Amino acid sequence: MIGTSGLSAWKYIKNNKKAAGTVMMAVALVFTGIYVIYVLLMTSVESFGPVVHRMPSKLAFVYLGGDPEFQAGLIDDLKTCPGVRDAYFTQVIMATYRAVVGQLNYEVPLMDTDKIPVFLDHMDAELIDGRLPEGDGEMLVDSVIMRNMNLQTGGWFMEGDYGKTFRIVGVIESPYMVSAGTPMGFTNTGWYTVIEKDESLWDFTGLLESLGYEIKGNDTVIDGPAYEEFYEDSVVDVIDNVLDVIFLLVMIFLAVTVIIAYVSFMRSRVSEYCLYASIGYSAFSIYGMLMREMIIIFAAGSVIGTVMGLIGSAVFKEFLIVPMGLICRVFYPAQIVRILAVYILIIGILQIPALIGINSIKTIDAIED
Amino acid sequence: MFEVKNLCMIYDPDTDEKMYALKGLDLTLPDKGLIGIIGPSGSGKSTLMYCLSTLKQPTEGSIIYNGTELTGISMPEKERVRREEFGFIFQKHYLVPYMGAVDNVIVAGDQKSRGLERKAEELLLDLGIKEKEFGKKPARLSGGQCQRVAIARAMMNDPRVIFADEPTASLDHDNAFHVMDVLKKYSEERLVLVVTHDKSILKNSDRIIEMWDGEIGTPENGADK
Repeated sequence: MIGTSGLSAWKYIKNNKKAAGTVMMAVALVFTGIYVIYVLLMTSVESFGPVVHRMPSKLAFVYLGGDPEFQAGLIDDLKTCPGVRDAYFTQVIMATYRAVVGQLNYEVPLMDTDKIPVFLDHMDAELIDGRLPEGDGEMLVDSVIMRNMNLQTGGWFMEGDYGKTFRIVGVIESPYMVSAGTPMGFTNTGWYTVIEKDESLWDFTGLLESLGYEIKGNDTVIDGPAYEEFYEDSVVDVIDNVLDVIFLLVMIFLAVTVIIAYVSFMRSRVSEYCLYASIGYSAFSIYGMLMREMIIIFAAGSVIGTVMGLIGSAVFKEFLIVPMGLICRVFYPAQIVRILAVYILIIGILQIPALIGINSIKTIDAIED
Repeated sequence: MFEVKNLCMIYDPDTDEKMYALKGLDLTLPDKGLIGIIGPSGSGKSTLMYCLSTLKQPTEGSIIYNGTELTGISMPEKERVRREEFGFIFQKHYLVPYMGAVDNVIVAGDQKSRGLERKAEELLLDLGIKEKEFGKKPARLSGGQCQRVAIARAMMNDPRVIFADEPTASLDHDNAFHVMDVLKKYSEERLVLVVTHDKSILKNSDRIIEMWDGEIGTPENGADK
């Protein structure tokens, strides 16, 4: 028996395993569904985070317009700054890193073959497959991007955008997830001053202004703050908003469904409640039994949902996310707490039909009159 | 056990034409015995039973039960009296459809006490329900078996009074007499009030109260047996 009010919540659950089990599983499946969707969408946030937080600590891209003389002056000025290891004006192509939802476009510098080993050394990159570029239009691509874009050594890099221009000759591994290559006379790309630097330099807008350069509307500064702003505005906020909408819609649907089902469930048990009232159980006892039944069903559904959500997420991670070269976390305690909080809210909302139902319980004499 | 004075029950008391279900009833009931209350439909017999059992609140009058004025006690106290001191057998059995026979009997027991299941099983056996039927739900029991489970439920808390409203209404003659035998036996120690249309089942009763139009007695004799 549960509690001391006398009416056992277990009896209904024990004797109605199918009905109680169906409700439990519905609660569990909603829990699992929301949790797995959350994990999948969060792969964008988890995967893009390292790129936008790490790469700008070693690399920045600046374009302020101007003629070659202006560019040379800018490079000279930048090279005088503490923390700048090298700066050079070069072609930059865009690469794409795709997540389950959304994609991140990031810059890949093209440079002379003799610069590439120095660049790799600066980015702590290691050649793990193939060879270094020896001629024009040859690429070294990060192993994560290789998996993410389903690329092979010998294949073409960003073929959809640049055609058969940049052939992949080697695979590298770097904590900064960088790629690099040599130009191929293909000029329909951006041109930037690429700055190899250390972690002490983060904000290049501020640095350039301190050097006397005015940043105008058409100028581009791709540095730490720019990446962070992009990440917050175009990744985190968008994913958060999408998740909030999904969460809200599912929970509204669940709440409405549960309330309708619960009213019907209470109606089907009117005679039972009348019996209890007639033989001396208080309305409070009957209400207590109802609440305990509800809490047991929701608690069991939540536990099952949490376990299924974690297992489901781990399965998705292993067989879908990791092979895509994405980063995935399986355990998000805050999300579990959030779903539980909504379930508690739904139980709270269910007090309304429960209390209305309990207050309208008659004793059997009234029914038989 | 019961001392009833000037008991009135008026339906629609605010209207000009008051409808009396009970008209100034005076009645004394002993601590034990099988008491039958008979009368035609609308005579007030069920209303009397429900007033005595605190399910209905009379419009006027007094019901003293073991020295306590039942009409003046609070709802929680009425619930306690019903749960601890009264047992109920209704016209329909009102068994909980998803519970087996034993669980249906246990519903009326003091849930804090031990040995509820064993006691429920003993009661069911005494009432002729076989062990193999203990777990059966009402839908799989016959009407007679359901009513016997309901009687076992009424006896589960060893009530001082059992109120039985048409307990044999849905039973065949054999089952009806069996049920009455069980109630008769119980009435050797406690009070059993049986409301019925069927005088034949009251042949072993200790007293029959005839009701007519909200009063005790018939138009012919104006008095009870």
